[in-house]
Amino acid sequence: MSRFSLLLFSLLLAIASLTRGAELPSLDLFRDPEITRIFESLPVQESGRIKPLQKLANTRLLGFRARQSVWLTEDGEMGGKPLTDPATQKPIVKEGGKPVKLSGVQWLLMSWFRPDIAKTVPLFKVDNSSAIAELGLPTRGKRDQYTYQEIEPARQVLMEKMTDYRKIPTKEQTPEQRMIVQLAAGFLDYEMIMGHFDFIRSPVGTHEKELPAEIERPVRLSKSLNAFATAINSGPPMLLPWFRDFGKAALGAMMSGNPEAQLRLFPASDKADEVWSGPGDLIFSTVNGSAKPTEEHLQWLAAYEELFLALPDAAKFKATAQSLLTKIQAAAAARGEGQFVALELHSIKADYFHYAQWLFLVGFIFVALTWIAPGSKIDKVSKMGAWTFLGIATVLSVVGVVIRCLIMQRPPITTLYETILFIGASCALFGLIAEWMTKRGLGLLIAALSGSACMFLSIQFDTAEATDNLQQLQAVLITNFWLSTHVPIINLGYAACMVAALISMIYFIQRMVGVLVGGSDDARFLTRIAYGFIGAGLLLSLVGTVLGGIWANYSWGRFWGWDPKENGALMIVLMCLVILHARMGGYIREIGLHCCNLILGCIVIFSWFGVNQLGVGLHAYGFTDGTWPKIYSFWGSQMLLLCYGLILSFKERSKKKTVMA
Amino acid sequence: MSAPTSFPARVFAFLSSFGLATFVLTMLLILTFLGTLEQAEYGLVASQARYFESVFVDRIDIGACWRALALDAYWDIGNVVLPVNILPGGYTLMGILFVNMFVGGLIRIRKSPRTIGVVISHFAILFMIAAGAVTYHFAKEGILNLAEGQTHDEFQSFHERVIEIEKVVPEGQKRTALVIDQRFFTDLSNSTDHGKARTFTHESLPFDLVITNWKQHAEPKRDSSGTRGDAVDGYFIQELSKLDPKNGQLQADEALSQACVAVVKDKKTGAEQRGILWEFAAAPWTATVGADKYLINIGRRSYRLPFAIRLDHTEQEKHPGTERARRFTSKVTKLHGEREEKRVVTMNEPVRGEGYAIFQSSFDDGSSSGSSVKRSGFQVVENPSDHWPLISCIIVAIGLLIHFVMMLARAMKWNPWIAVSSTLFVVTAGFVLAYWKL
Repeated sequence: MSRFSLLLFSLLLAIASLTRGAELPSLDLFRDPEITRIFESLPVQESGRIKPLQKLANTRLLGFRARQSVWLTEDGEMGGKPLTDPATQKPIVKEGGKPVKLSGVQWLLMSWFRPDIAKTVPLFKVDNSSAIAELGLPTRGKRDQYTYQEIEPARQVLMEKMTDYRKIPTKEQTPEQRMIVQLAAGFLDYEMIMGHFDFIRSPVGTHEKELPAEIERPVRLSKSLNAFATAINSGPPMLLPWFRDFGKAALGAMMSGNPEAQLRLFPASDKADEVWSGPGDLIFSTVNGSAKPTEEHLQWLAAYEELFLALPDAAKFKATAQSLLTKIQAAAAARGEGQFVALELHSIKADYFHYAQWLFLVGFIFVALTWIAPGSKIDKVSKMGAWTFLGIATVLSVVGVVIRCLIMQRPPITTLYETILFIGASCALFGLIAEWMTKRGLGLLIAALSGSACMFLSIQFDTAEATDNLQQLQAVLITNFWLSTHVPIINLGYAACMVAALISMIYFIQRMVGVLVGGSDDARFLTRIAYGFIGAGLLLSLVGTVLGGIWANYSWGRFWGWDPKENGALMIVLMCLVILHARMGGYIREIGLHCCNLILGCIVIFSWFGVNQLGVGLHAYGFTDGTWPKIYSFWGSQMLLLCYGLILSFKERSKKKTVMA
Repeated sequence: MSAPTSFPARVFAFLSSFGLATFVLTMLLILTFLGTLEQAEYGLVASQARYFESVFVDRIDIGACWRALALDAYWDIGNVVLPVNILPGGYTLMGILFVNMFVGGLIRIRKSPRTIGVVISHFAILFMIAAGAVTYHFAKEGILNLAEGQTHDEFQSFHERVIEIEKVVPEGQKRTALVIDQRFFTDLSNSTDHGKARTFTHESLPFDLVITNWKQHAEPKRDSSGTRGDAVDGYFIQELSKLDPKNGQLQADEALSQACVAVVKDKKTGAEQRGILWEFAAAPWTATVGADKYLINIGRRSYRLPFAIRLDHTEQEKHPGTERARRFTSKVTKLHGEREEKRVVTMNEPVRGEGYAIFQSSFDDGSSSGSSVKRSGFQVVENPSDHWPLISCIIVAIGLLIHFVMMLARAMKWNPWIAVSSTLFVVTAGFVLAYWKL
């Protein structure tokens, strides 16, 4: 963008704000701890459940830039040059001249009330710069973040391309096309977010004079919504000069093109009406005649307008926001809803899985320290340290899972994301139990490795999905008994088998680096523990799988349907049985058992993530792009270890033969 | 164990061996893997029949499995099909496993407190395989679609097709139909040999019925040029692609429409009438022989219920503010002649009785068909071994728990009996608590 057009743009903005005659509120107001507290705990209904506004803001921000916070700098990162406030032309910094970081809800408030700044914030993460080039815009690095202002000149092209590419099935789209579709959706969404208060800021743009006389000035929809509906429905609306701007403001009030994701924050006093209302919903349903706004609705809308009108007076804004919060909380409580909003906010802030990940890593360092001088004082102290950190990390992940159950009032696992959390916590717990029983350090290593791997994976997965990770149940799953027996048991089975596979990986790596000798006491110990976990894995996955069949039989009338997920679980059971019988028959010994365990691990990964990618069957609940390459790399690494194991076994056999000869 | 010498002893040793168990379990594992992958291109019904219910697997489509794993993104191997007519199928393997487990895991196994858990679990799994066999051979399942206010006493199989021959009788008289099972006509599909045909005859019929030119998915088409040799009354059977034109994926078995040519040959005069049978036809084909009319039809096999079902009311609840379904519920009335019984079918809560279980399976609020009539689809199942898996699951859980807890107790030098009994107590208490509370 040339300097001239930038100037023109800021001039335009200045003119727009002049015509409004409103003084812009200071950005500091939206970073005020009190204001932040009020807004983040505001209950809203989205995707069928009540959640704090913080969750909604975080999810949106995650979708745009794969992170739940943003720095107001030129590159969106901590070290960048601070952005300039277009209103004051001063750099946006906090005390000490440092750049400002906004949390999800602070970013949302900035976007609502200071769109002029919001347009200059690097927000849209683009993984493929050729998509930007395709739009005819100047590109930067291959992966970079672009501001709304940078994309805006190509708005027309972007919309045209999106319309074209959407016609192509997702699987056949090129990465650039997928990127453009995603960028366009994000761009439109952000336009609506920034225009959220347009319905009060400038409901008909510059066409206020052309409005019918019976509409009161200044325009307040809480007073004249019905008059607007009458005016629009009296003739072809496209002929009204102000209709386009009105429609745009109404879309902004909805805050999303997806009806499920629109902002709903007015609980109805009538309990039979399960759906909360919102500004956009009110405007749309009134204008298209599907519902007439009640007095209660208009009062809600008026209270919401007050919020905007209180600006830029900080004290008044705070008082209005607090009163809106109290009102919504009271209305929700009267309906018996929203009682877990505070708990959810706590769990967002406590960020259990994030901290658990780091503690697991610290625990791993302590485990590694025990290898330096076994039996020494360092060993003892490090073991204590490892126990402490891994113990706390495990407790954190378990508490995190339990809080999720409390918020949703249901058993721990209903989505793929939740299996990762549950399996991570279970593996860590298994490791600690094994350590408590054996006291040889292996259990701690298992807990550290599996805990940090699963927590890392869960955070990656959550970022890639970028949707609310607390999802409402599908209709087929509404049974707490089966959800709390079949699903956790089968996932414990996955966890036990993964631990068995992990022990075998440890076995081969230790053999590779030469710290373990085949047939030694340590090697036999590893084999015994691995064998124990296969046994546990068999018990849990067999019972879990059969329980799933029984659930299906009692709920849908079929015990077994050869569905891919069922088959995956069956494959785990079969592999465990193969290992146990082959060992009983003497076909595999130490190395053979560990080789088979590696295959078991590959099967668990296939059944856990792979079958969902086949795109068939009932359990295909988590299709994610780009999962196959990750599965291949896991399989590849296991195959390398397996080859090493086969070579090892061949060597030992020939050694035995020479000894016998 | 010393090596057996006599032939029967050797057979016994082979049948009860760990080697056979390992081999069969490995084969089952491989079949499950391949069958799962092939589902992506062949659909559930076809791969189930090929891998899991077959005596022998006739071929393996390596190319399809390769594509299911998305490996074609790196290296497209094209269509590779491995013909392997001797590979035992799921049915055979389950049979061998049953024998192996029975002989090895129940009879030959050394019985001692150490193996008690293993014996119990083997017994339970044998019971489960038996339950599977009973379900496979004797269970009937199908779908019953009802609109609100509609009453019906028949349900239709999901996948099984038949040809029905029904004599038209005056209203009020008992209607009976002769049925030809699908295995007697689905092999008449050789497209290069339109002449392949089979004749069906029955003493109660005044004619022989010849079936030919069967197609799994087809529609009748007008023979506008009038040159086709296989045309019947100006129409011929046009085979259709089984792939969905919208997404290129294989269509579900339910969406396929079978068709074939039927020839009615009068036993007395030898006169012939030809007609096309088509699954999606609005009405059956009618053949007139002498003074009688016969309706001949190809379609899903239907089963009669010992009672009728009326759908009184059905509704769908959604999660607030979304299009996501939370629950489907149907209020139905079971009609036994004069006697009426009001029942409610909902997700996870079927209506059971008289050997039949009726499940809520699908819901249509009428918007897709443009009408305002709400419809419910019910899955109807009659399965003699309905509760066997539950019994077997409880036994296998107890058996494995005993075995592994004993192993653990020995390793940890705990008292095995106290360990086992306390574990069993805790697990049972957990389940009872879950069942009671949830």
